[in-house]
Amino acid sequence: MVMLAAAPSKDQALQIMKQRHDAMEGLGKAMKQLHRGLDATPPDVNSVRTQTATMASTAAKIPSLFPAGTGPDVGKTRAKPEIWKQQPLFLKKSKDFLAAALALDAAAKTGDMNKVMALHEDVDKACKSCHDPFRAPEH
Amino acid sequence: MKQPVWDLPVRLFHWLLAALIAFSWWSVKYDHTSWHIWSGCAILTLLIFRFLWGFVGSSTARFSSFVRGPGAVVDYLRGKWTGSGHTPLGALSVVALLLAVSVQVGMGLFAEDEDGIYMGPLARLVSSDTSDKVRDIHALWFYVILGLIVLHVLAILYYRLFRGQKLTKPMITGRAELSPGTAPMRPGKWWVAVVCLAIGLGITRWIIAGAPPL
Repeated sequence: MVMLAAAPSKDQALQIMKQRHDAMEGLGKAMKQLHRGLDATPPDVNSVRTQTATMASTAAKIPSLFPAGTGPDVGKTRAKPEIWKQQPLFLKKSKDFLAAALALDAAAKTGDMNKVMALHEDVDKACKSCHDPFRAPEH
Repeated sequence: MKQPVWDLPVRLFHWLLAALIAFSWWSVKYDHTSWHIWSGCAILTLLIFRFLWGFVGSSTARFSSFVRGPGAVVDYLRGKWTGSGHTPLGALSVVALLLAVSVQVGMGLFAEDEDGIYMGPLARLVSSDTSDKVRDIHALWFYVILGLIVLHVLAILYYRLFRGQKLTKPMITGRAELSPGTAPMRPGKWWVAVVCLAIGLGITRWIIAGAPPL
């Protein structure tokens, strides 16, 4: 991870945007596998744990993946300019998501799949509540 | 005098389908994904109902009365067709729309959203990669349906403007002026319609439950 004091150069920005894209796509994949792991009979506890660990570690990286100067004016991204215009709200949403992902991962580690199932909805909501204001539509 | 042409189940099916297709488009465009899935399930019920009604419903609802070969289409274009219900040419459009919407609902059942938050009721039966691909095709397939709808509406406008035939009103009232000697619709039985609907609801429920072994 590149940490930057000043605004990133174009190359640095594009590199971060690529990392960000991969991280977000990885989150989506983890969510999809998580569903299938939970729905299996019996639930696939190992797969569920792998996915929740990925989600928690990716969630922790989110604030550093959105430095100023990596918006749609720099390159192709669905990140909306509102992320930087409403920075405190964005950071709060990413914090909420991290809290939900950590709680989910902790539940998965205990092996209580019913609890994972229940907490899973909080993660869904946290994803949505940040995507709604801060992510542009797919096309 | 106006004679019956479309029975109530056919009319309800038609307008509910039109409304649900519009709602499905709107709900997914504005991120109401769970409404979109419910709308698809409602369309599934309608399609199953319509398919069954096409075998046991009123005369103009039955596939056997309007699905015909190319010969009948040619005869119709030469002005040699008399009858009530779907014309041989219009029937092609009806069949194409029913098939296209069925394919669309079928794909929706196996699709998942890009974030892995929502899944169609059968998505867990296939891999995540398959489910994502199905969603992409499902999104593109909408343009096939849209094309057929445009054709459908243009045909209605053509008949209204150049043939002096009003086709929309009979789809609301169920009655139309028929040329002399044309047999009007023979109605179906109301309780048969109820049974068809019950079967549609039953199959849809089973699919929503993830199609468990019976």
